[in-house]
Amino acid sequence: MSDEEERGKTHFGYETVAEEEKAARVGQVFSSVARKYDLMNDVMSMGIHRLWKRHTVQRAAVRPGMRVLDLAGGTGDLAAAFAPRIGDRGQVAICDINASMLVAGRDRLLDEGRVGNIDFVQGDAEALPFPDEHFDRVTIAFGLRNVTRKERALAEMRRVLKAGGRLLVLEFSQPVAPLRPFYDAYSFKVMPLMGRLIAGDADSYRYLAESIRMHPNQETLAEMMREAGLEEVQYENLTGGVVALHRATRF
Amino acid sequence: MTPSENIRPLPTAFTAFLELAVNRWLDASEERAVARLAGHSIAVEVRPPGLGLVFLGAADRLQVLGSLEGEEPDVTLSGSPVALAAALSGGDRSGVSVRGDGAVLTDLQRALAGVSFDWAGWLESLTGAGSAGPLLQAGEALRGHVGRFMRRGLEDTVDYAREEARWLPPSGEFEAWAEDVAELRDVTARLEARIARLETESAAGAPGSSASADGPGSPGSG
Repeated sequence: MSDEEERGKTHFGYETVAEEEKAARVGQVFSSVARKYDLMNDVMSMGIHRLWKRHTVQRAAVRPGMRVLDLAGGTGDLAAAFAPRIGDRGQVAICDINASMLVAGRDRLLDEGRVGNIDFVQGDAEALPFPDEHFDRVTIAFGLRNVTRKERALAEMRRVLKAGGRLLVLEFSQPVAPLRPFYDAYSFKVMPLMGRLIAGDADSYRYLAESIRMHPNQETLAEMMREAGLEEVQYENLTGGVVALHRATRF
Repeated sequence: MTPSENIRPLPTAFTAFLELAVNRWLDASEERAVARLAGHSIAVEVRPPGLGLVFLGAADRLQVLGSLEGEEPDVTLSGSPVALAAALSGGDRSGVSVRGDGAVLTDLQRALAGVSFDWAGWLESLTGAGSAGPLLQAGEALRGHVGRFMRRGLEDTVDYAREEARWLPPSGEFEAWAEDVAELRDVTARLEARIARLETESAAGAPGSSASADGPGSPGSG
């Protein structure tokens, strides 16, 4: 943890804010974008986010009857994939701190007829409202960078995993060097512009771009996961490191 | 599963497509046969070219993954593409190596076997009514070409191994040699029997032997 964080400060994009302020400000961002979140994801990633999530579902290798926690599950992309695979005997819990995102996800999954084995829980990743050793899989896709104290959140994810359970963290990361100039231009010019045109909110998308830059790179996150007591930590870069999928096991 | 050495997992884009195709196929299969696979994993190693994939039974489908991390599959099949296709579709396991629980493999074979898939209906759902005929004809023609190519390829390979590389004996030579060996074996067997009989007779005629007291040449006889 940096000196700044030790003094109770953290990052909100490129801004430095008090730790207790970050959750509220992140909440405002996601409340603002919740309604058009899925559409924006498709537009801004040119649909590739579906392949990244599909890859995560594959790596999770769920079986019938498993319990899966989809943290920061928001609009329910991963949960929608897990629910039919684990069947009626299994359970998917979508946990998100933001009520607007949960409502958007619940409505969407209800519209798709996905009911019965999905629970919606509003909760903080740093203090998960679940018992110890409860889940076979914990996933968090594009959510960890918005968490104020990532170390606490990772420790909580470990706590709720059963022995032998696996954590999968899908998150934006540091792309390979040749991609960076294009990626920067896209993030800081194109993304806010599309945010303004499609969702009517350029600032929120500027925050998303900035928060990606402030997120730990691949190796740093892997080390944080080890420090949280997780084992067999490994990661793979997707799309040249634009996104990384970290995986770990609790023993 | 930690994939075997030199086995690369198939990329997600490919396994996603394969999963779609396999489950479309299994939709026409007996429900119970697919249900038996739930929770079970079958790893397939294609050698050559050294590619791997895993079938993992979920509640509603057969998942197709590049690999299975941190756990051993119930059964692992390894072999050439043709041998694996024969094992998975026809039940002929002669050309593949099987490690693990063969019963799981049998369940997969049962699920895949006897499926009568409506290709025409499926194609028309994708490309529109009336489009299936020409596509199916093209598919049949392609299948015929591939079949002929495979047969010719096998014949050419045998000819090469026999005539050019001389890894195999020329046509007819092995059969002639096998007949010679069989004849030699018969002659040897007869010779061995003859020698044994001569030894017996010789022993019976020798003076002072136990057999001589009662034998035909003994003094008290006749």
